[in-house]
Amino acid sequence: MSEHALRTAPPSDAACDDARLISRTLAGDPAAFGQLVVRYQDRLYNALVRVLGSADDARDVAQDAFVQAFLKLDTFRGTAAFYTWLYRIAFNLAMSHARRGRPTQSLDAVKDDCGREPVDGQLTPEAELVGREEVMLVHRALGELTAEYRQIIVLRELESCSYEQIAQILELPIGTVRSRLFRARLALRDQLAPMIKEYPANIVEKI
Amino acid sequence: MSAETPQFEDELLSAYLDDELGPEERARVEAHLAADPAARQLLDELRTVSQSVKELPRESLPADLSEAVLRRAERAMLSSKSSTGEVAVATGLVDVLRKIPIGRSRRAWAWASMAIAAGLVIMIFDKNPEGDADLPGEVAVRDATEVGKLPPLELRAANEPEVVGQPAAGFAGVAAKPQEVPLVADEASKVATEELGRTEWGSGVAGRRGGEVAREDALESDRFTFGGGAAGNVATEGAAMDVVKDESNSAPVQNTDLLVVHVNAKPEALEQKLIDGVLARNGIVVEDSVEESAPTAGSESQLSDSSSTAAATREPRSRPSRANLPQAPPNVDVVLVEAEPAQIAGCLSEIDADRANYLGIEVEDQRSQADQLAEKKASIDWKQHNRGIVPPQQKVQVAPDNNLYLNAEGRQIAIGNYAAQTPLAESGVAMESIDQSAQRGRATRMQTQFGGDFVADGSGAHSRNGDPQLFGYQAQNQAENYGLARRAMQKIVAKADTLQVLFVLTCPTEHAVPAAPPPATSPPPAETVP
Repeated sequence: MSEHALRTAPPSDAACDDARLISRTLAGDPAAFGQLVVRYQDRLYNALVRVLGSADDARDVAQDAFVQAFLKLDTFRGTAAFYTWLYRIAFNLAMSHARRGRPTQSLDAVKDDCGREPVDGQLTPEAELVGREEVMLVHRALGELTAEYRQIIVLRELESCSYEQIAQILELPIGTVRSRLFRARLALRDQLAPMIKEYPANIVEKI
Repeated sequence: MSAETPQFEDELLSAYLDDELGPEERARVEAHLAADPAARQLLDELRTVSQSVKELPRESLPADLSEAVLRRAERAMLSSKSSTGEVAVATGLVDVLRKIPIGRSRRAWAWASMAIAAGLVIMIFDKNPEGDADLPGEVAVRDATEVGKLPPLELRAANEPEVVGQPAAGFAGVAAKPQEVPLVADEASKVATEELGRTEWGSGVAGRRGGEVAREDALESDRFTFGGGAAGNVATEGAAMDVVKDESNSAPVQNTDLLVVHVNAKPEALEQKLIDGVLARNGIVVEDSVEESAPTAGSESQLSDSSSTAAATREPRSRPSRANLPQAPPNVDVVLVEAEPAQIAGCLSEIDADRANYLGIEVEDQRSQADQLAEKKASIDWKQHNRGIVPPQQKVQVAPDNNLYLNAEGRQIAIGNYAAQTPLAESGVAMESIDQSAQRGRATRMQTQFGGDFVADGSGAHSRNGDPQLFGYQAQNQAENYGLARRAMQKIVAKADTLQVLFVLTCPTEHAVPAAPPPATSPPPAETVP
């Protein structure tokens, strides 16, 4: 019986851990929230970099998001995952941030970085396999999308969110998630198409 | 089915790719795919696009955000009174405080070792017999002869053996002794010194270094070593004089507690008494009162030498000779402040933000009556021992406009970063414009003297001079300390109209204080570093 319990435990572990850290934070232990930050910061940062196109912006917004989350922690009802709630805050902030009109410019910086060296000089093994040119292409293409499209693509492709999760994070009906994601992909395809024609081999391999 | 709009069908392809279709829709799509090559083509394209994004390299976070997050959150909490802040403060403060080892022995140690390391002598003033209304509840250390006459405090202690803050278990080397001290007049001082003696500081603290400690431990270690790289220094503190709020002597229990704020400042900041500027910008004017009381009753020196009982049980440190106390540049500054919580908060905020001048800040919250009593006993003991040695306080007038030493950058930092709590602060105007009548708080600088011997001997202290790693650690943990400071403040805020805060500023002794060869087993120049 305990074995069975163990087998079914893992999926909820993360949620339980989060809940525990949250309640400890609310009880007055800031270190607990620090752990939550550590737990999610890499992911959130990564997602924001793709959405905002700038490492600096991503860091700022990530920080802002965590701070907001902390300040509003007592409003988190626990019905959704903390992650979802956090991302909702973050993506809201990102949208405001993006509207201030920086993305395109910053994306160039990121593109260059990714093309040659990522922000921290570390390429994942996957990246190395894919090839830097490819990465640059995709980056550029992403940069041409609207922030809304970028957001939903990032959530789906990078964060592997389900439609349901995306709906919660972006506060959209599922139907809208579906159609928007589709249109975002089309838009990205349109951006990539000319590039695909140029580098058919690279692309084809992945199919 | 071709009757449907292509868009709709195509849209399903995207969802199909993501496996987000119900069985019915999936069946439809599969049928469609089978029938329509264009649909298959589109699906391929969608898949390609999806993959290309999935394979983007992950960006790694440049730096851990948690410190910065917490620091900003704390500030925001206090300035905006977010509900999280209140909840956190209200429900968890005691827990938080417990993490801070503010057991009396530790405080005494911190004080003493700080003094030692800095070669400092801190005066503690007897409470003005007339009951100076200006500084109610001021430190009152009675003459040794009055040891037996402390009934009020004793009684209180006996009745309310509240224990707040015990050396956390994780704090190796510190005997976590519960504060169950028999509060009997005769034994009090003896117990106090025994208590102090039991603390094994040398080993515990010496082993602690900046980044090597876990977060909670780090906090303690931080405060610990505040007293001085005086780590190994441990020494004598025995009868560490402590500034204890005496609530009993004349009035019923007052609703203010004495908060002790340790600030690690740069030597220049200390020399220039920049803290006066900080205080003034928050509506607090520093004045120095003269204590007329006789040396014995009035001033007290907190020297590293302690009553032998205490020293005996610790790492043996020889007692530096007070006979030849050379004058040295000040590296300790003590200011007793009484002000509204908002003003204090403003000061803390400014100090914390001013990285150019201040390296660290910690707050101790003295709550336990038992603690106070014990420390007081210890100090009385010490005082008795050193009667007549320390001259009375000297009067120094400090006017607000004397203190505009804050450099442009510092001022900018200060003005720009801290949550303005007072009109003075918000105006961003330099101090010249401070209106005395706007003053809402007062501060008294406590005269300090210092002895070179102490610095040298004091330590065993591993010098933290110019140790960038340690300073870095300090700065890094400033967030923690600051956060705790804020929380401690909030709780007090909840209770009091005015706060009494003792600002203790020390700096790393980079000054060449003439160091007499340490008689004991201590390495060269001691250090005051939080």
